[in-house]
Amino acid sequence: MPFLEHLSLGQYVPTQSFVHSLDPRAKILSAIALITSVFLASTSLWPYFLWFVVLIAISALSKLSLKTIMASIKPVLILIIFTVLINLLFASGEELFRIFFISITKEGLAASIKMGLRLLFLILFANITMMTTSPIELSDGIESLLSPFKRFHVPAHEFAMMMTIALRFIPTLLDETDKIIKAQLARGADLDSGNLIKRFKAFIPVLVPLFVIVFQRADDLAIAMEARCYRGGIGRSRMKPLRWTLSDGLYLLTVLLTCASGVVLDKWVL
Amino acid sequence: MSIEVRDVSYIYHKDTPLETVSLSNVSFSVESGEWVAIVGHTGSGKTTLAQMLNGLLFPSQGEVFVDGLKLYPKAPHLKSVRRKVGLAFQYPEHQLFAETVLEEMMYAPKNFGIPEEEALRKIKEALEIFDLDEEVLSRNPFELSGGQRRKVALASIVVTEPSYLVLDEPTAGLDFKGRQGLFSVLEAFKGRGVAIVQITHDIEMVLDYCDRLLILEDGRKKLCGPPGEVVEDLIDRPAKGLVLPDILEFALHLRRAGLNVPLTWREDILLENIEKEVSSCLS
Amino acid sequence: MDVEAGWWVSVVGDNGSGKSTLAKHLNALLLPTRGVCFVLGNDTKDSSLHWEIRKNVSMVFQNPENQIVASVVEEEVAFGPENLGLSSEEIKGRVNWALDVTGLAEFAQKPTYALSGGQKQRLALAGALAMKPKCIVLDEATSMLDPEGRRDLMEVLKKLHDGGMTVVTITHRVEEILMSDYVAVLGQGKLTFYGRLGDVLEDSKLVEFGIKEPAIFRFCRDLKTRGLLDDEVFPRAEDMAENVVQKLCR
Repeated sequence: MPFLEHLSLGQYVPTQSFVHSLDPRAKILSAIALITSVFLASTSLWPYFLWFVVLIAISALSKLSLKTIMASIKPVLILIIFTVLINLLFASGEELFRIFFISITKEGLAASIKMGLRLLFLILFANITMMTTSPIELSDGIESLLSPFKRFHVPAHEFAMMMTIALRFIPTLLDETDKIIKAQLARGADLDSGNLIKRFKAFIPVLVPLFVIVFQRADDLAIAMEARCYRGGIGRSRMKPLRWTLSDGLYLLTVLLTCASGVVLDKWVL
Repeated sequence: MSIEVRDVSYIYHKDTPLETVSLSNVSFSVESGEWVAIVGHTGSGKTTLAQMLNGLLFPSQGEVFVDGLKLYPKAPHLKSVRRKVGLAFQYPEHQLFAETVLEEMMYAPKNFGIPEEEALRKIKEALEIFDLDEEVLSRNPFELSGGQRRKVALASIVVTEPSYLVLDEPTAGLDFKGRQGLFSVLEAFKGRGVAIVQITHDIEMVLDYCDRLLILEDGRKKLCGPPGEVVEDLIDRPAKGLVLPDILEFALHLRRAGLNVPLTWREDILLENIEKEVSSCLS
Repeated sequence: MDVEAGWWVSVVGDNGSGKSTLAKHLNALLLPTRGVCFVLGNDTKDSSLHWEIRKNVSMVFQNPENQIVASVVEEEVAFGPENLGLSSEEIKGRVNWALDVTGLAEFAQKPTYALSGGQKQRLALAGALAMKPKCIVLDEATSMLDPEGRRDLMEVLKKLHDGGMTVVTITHRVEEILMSDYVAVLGQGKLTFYGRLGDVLEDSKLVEFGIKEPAIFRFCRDLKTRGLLDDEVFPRAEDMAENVVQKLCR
C-alpha cells in the first residue's frame, strides 16, 4: 500500500467535523486572509503566537491532531530550512558570533527566524484547508469565487476541473514514479551519484516513461469523462450545491477579525 | 546458490498512526534453477516481498540473503545482486523509455558495465528466446504492438543473464496465446538453469509449471510446498481471495454429494478419476 | 451485428482484433468510417444525438485508475448525474442506489485512492450505473483484477442483467463468456462468429477462437454426447456438479 506514504502532502482527510462541514468558500477566503496577514504582520515576532493559537483552534474544530497537521510540512521542510539558512548566512549587520569564516549577524538571525516562521505558517494554513476540504469542494469553491470574473473570459470551470483532477492524480502519479524508479534501479540504474548533469541524464529513463503514462492516463480519463456525458460546465448541476450558512459567515468573520487585530497590533500598537 | 528469506517483516509508516504491516515473519528460499510461485490476494504482501529479493525494499525485521550476501541499504554488493536477480514489475512495458529497441536493451548491460560487443551478443540471444526478429532492434518500442512491447521489456531485463528472475504478474493483460508464449519462454529460461519466481493471484495458471508454491495471506506465509501438497491443504483450508481450478471445485462438490473421487491437482488425472467414478456409479 | 435489449453479449478475440474499437462505437466515442451504427434507433453519426446515446449506454474501461475523476467515492459516482444537470435530490438518490447495487455503500465517504483494484472497478461501474443506462458496456473491465475482484464484479453484472439490463462484455476470460447469452468473435477486425453461447460450446469453438476451454467443459460435453446431461450450460462448477449428481441419482 505505497499510496499511504504520501498522505502527508496536505491531502484531504475525510472525517466529520465543524471545519469539514463549512462552505469551501469560507475556508478558502479564511486561508487567503490568514496567509496575507502572516506576511503583513512582519515587524515583530509576537503575532506568531496568535497564528499558533488560530492553528490550535482550527485543529480542534477540525478533529485533526496538531501532530497530523505538523506532519504535512514534511515534504517542504527542506525548502524551509534552505530559506532559513540563506537568510542566516547572507545578512549583513552586527556580528553575534563567527563559525570559521561564516559570520552570524543579529539581523540575519532575526530575519531567518521570521522568514522560517512565515513560510511555515503559510504552508500550514494552506495545508489545513486542503486537509479539511475535499478536492471537489475545493474546486467548487474556487469556481464559485472566480465566477464573477467569467465575463472577463476567465475559464473558472475549466480551472476548477483541472485542479480537481490534478489533486485526484497526485497519489497515483507518486506511486507510478516510485514504481518506475524501482524498475530502472532493478535494471542497474544509478540515480544518486555523479554530478548534476550526470544525475539529470540518469533520470531520463524515469521521466520518459512517466510522461508516456501521464499522457496515456489523460487520454483514458478524457474518454471516460466524455462517456459519462461530460461537456464542460454548461448544464452541469451539483450533488451538494454550495450553501452559505450562518456558521460560515461567523467563521469567516472570526478569522478576519483575528487577522485584522494581528496586523493592527503588530504595526501600530507594539 | 539460493535466495534466502529469513523471518522477514515489513511495516509501512512505522511509528505513525498509518502504520500498516505488509509482511510478517515470512521465511522461504529459492534454490537455483527452481520455479517458485508466490500466490496471494491483493494486499497480501506479495509485491512487497518481490521487491525485497533484489534490494529495492529492505525488511523492517529479518534478513534476505542472495547467494550468501546479506541485503541492506547501500550495501556495496547491491548492484551485483541486482544483476543476479532480474525483476520485472507488473506491466513491464511501462518502463520503456528509449527511442529504439536496441537502446532500450542496451540500458541494463551499460549500467552493469558489460562491454558493448558482449552485450550485443546477449541481446541477440535474448531476442531469439523471446521469438523476436532482429529487425525489431531499429524500431521504436512505442510503435510495437502491446504483446511485442511486453516481450521487449522482459527481454531488456533478462539480457544481463540473471540467475534469478522475479516476475510480478507477467501475464497480466495478455490473451491466451500471449500467455502460452510467455510460459514457454519462462520454461526455456528454467532449462538454462535460471530460477523463476512468479508472483500471481491466479493459482490455476501456475500449477502445471511451478516446483513450489508459496501462499501468502494478509502478509503471512500460509502454505509452502510442492503444488500437490499445497492444493490439498487449500482444499481443507481455503486461502483468502484464491480460487481453485474449476475442475477441482467440481470434484469437491461431487465428493460432498457422496461420490468417491480421489483428489489430485493434476487436471488430466482428476478428470480420469471423475469419469471413472461417474461411470461406475452409472453401471 | 444486432444486440437486442436485455441480451448479454460477450465480445471475444485476440489482442488487437478490434474488440475495444467496437466497444467504443456503442456509445459514440468512436464513429464508423464506413457503415452505420444505431443505438436505440439513434444514428451515432449525428453528433446532436451523442448526449442521448451516452445517457443510455454507459461504459466501464480496463484500467479502473484511469476513469476515476474525484477523490471521494460518492463524489465520483455523482459525476455522471451532475453532467446530466439533475437535481441535488435526484443525484443523491442515484448515488445511494448505485453504491448499494455495487456493494460500496459503506465506502461512500472514503477516499477513492484507498480502494482496492476490485473495489475501484466496482466504483467505476457504480459511476456508470448512476446514469441509469439501458445498456452497460465493459471493455476488458476485469483484466486488471484478482479472482475475487472479478467474481464480485461479475456478480453485480449478473444481478443487473437479471433485472433486464443489456450487457456487453469485452473479455477473454472463459468464466465471463459463460455468463453471456450471445458470443461475438472478432479476428483481425472482422466478425468471424456471432451466435448463441450454446452453439459455441456445442462445437468446441472456444478452442478455435483461441480461448482455453476449461477441463470441466470437455467433461460435461462428453457426458452430454453420452446422453447423460441436459443441453443446458452451467457455467459454475457448483451448478454443474449438482446437475451431474442429480442425473446420477435418477
